[in-house]
Amino acid sequence: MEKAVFEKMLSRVQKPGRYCGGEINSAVKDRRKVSVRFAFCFPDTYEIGMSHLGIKILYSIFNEREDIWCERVFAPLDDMAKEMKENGVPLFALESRDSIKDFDFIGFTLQYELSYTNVLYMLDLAGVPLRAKDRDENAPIVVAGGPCACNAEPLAGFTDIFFLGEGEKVDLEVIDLYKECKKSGWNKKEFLRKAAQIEGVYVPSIYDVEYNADGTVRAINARDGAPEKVQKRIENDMDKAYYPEKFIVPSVEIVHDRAVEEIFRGCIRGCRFCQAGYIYRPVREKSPDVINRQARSLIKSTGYDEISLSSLSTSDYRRLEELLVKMLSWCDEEKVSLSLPSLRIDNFSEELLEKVSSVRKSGLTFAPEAGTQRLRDVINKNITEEEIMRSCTTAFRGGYSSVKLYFMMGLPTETDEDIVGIADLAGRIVDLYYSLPDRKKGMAVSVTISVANFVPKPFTPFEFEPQISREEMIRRQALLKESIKSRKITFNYHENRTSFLEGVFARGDRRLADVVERAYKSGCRFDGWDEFFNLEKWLAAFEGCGIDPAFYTARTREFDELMPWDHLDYAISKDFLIRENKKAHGGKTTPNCREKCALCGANTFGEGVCFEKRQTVL
Amino acid sequence: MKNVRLFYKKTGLARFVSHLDTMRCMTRLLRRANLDVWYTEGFNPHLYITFAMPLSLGMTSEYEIADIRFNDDGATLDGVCEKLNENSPEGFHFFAASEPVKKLSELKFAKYKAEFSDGGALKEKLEKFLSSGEISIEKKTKKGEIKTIDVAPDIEKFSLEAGDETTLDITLPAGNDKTVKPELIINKFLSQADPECYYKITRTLLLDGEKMPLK
Repeated sequence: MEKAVFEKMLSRVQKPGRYCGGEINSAVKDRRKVSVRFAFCFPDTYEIGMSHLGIKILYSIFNEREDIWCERVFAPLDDMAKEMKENGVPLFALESRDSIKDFDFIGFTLQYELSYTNVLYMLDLAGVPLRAKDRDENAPIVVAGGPCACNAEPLAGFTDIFFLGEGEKVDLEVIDLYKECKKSGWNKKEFLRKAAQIEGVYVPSIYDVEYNADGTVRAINARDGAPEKVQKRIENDMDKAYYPEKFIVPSVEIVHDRAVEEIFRGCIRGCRFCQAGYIYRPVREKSPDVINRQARSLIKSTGYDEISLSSLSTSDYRRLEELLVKMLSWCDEEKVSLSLPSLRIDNFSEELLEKVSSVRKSGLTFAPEAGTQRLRDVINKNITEEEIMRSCTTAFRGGYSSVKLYFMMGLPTETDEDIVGIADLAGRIVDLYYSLPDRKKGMAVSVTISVANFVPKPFTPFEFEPQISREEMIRRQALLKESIKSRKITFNYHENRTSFLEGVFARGDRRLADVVERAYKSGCRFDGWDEFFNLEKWLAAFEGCGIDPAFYTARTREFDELMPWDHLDYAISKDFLIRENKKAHGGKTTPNCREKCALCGANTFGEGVCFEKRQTVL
Repeated sequence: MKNVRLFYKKTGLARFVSHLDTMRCMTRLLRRANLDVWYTEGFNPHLYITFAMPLSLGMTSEYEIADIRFNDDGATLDGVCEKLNENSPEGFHFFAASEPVKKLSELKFAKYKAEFSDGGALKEKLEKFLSSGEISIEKKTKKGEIKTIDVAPDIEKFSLEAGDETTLDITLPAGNDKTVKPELIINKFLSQADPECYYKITRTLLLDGEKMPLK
């Protein structure tokens, strides 16, 4: 692309910095000296995509290899897309500004279902045929990974390869196979057939799906010697797993503009609504020394003055105190603020609070998820109101005056009593604040309750459950709103329209490909953004394809129904999910992985928490 | 503590990094360069840095100033630019580091160069426009009201050249007392002469009251 043309385009768009590249620590290579070009696409804006940890890890892993050049691609907003069209510029990679149509691989990370139209949007902008079957021998191989790959069946028709689980090793194995196949006479079908033999690789085109008359799946058949079940990949030893020493430091502000250090993968808790809590099993920790060393090197190479510890539940890290002591010894001196997101209420100690606030006081967030103890037992969120109150007391005495609480609405077995319970709980926290004589004086308490809509997800005990209708979501939101009595309480809630669509795709099947394509062609994109989301267009797309979205959301699925994702193996057994579902309906909780093994199946990897000494034994 | 004035250029695509983002970039860049810089001593210490004059989004510059402080009174300034350049994102280039001669409040004028992709066609019209004695521009005040002002008397100096493109050099007030943005004048002109014309502005110098480069 001509530089003058590019600058002219940029001078006409909003926030042009996000299309520029050239950031510190970005990988610029000589295109003649690499043999594989990989376009790493995040199907959302630069600001969102650059905040994602996975892209940073894989970008660095690829670019450490001299023969691979991995570049970043984000979805341009409308104004930029218009400039690109008018100037005949197809979608390009940030580093080289070369068109990605000529790359070897186009890879998408699928972080949320509502980014599916953006996958099509980006392929289209690149000038690559949308459907895998319409792409010729020389077209780029379109791959995708990330949490949604555990059931990305709605995208099966557009994707050549899905990576299941963690991508660090499997991505490179596929690239190596690609190089080999290129050398020995390229045949795409042959390459895909061979790729399907690699553990963690799912090639959707060699699996045939048959349906019953009622629309449910009858059978999923593997062809060409592909495995009947594709197993996900994981990194076994987190201390030896690759972690980048450098992050790209964006020159324009992004959403999470800070260094991020991953401390463990997986979660011991087993909250029954939480997909991440199951698909990332088993829990595998990094040791404090490794974390400390990696964190320090990140701070040095980026110049960030903030670092956040990343995991699904930070306070479940067994050696957190030890780690904090290590890290705070240099964070203070180097004026680095340390943030600990995802703290759980139940094991939140006073000392811990003091340690974090000695650097900088950030807000307090808790996630009780449900308003009553009964419902918290159903979803296996093993915390009591007493624990919540105790943590808040600690926090208020420690000088905090604002608390954020996360809840979900539409959970299985939920009644109006549970909804009103959310307001009551928030009200009791307000009362608690004013009852404390040693609270910080002169500050008004502020309690924010954020309520998300529950969306049943694959590989959770609630994968069988119906999702409540949009009308019912609206009714329950209104009920909660009128139940809030104090003006110290702020109530935020999610859009019901997007939750509904998320519900359709989360447990969708291949037949939804037509709907995605139709919706995209009618103008749907950036569906995760309220200002762009257009429900009417989506409903028209469903109707036009003769597909009833309620089939995917409103139905209770039988335990013996074959799910569209049942050929994908995330080491979570169906028996376990059924047991957990039954326990949920009986209001029975399940101890966390450290207390007692619930026999989910994740021990097949021979690693992590499954092989730790149990607390009960110690 | 030692006051240090950094001089840098912002070129190429870095012109699309806004002033706010530039401030963030600079802080991180100074931290990466591992210089012994002074932090404010408030409740939330932050790296002390002051810029002479924000640069509009889309403008490049040959002469930008940022003031910082070193903890050590006797710190040498040798090698500071090299260290900063090694750690700079594309388009940021430091060319001098010295102790400030004048205060930043001595900034009175800025010199700009505007290049028009017009094939040289606009030169005469632009000359006439700039010499017309009255250039009324609509400006939004801080209260959000639209006010019409005449900026013709504010044009200190200008010169024009035409080749493949018309080039305008213009000196305008800049600083605490008064600032006139060159893009307002140019947009006004182009709205009458050629609304589609693409142009690019470079700030070439920051000047003191004597119209000497601010040092």
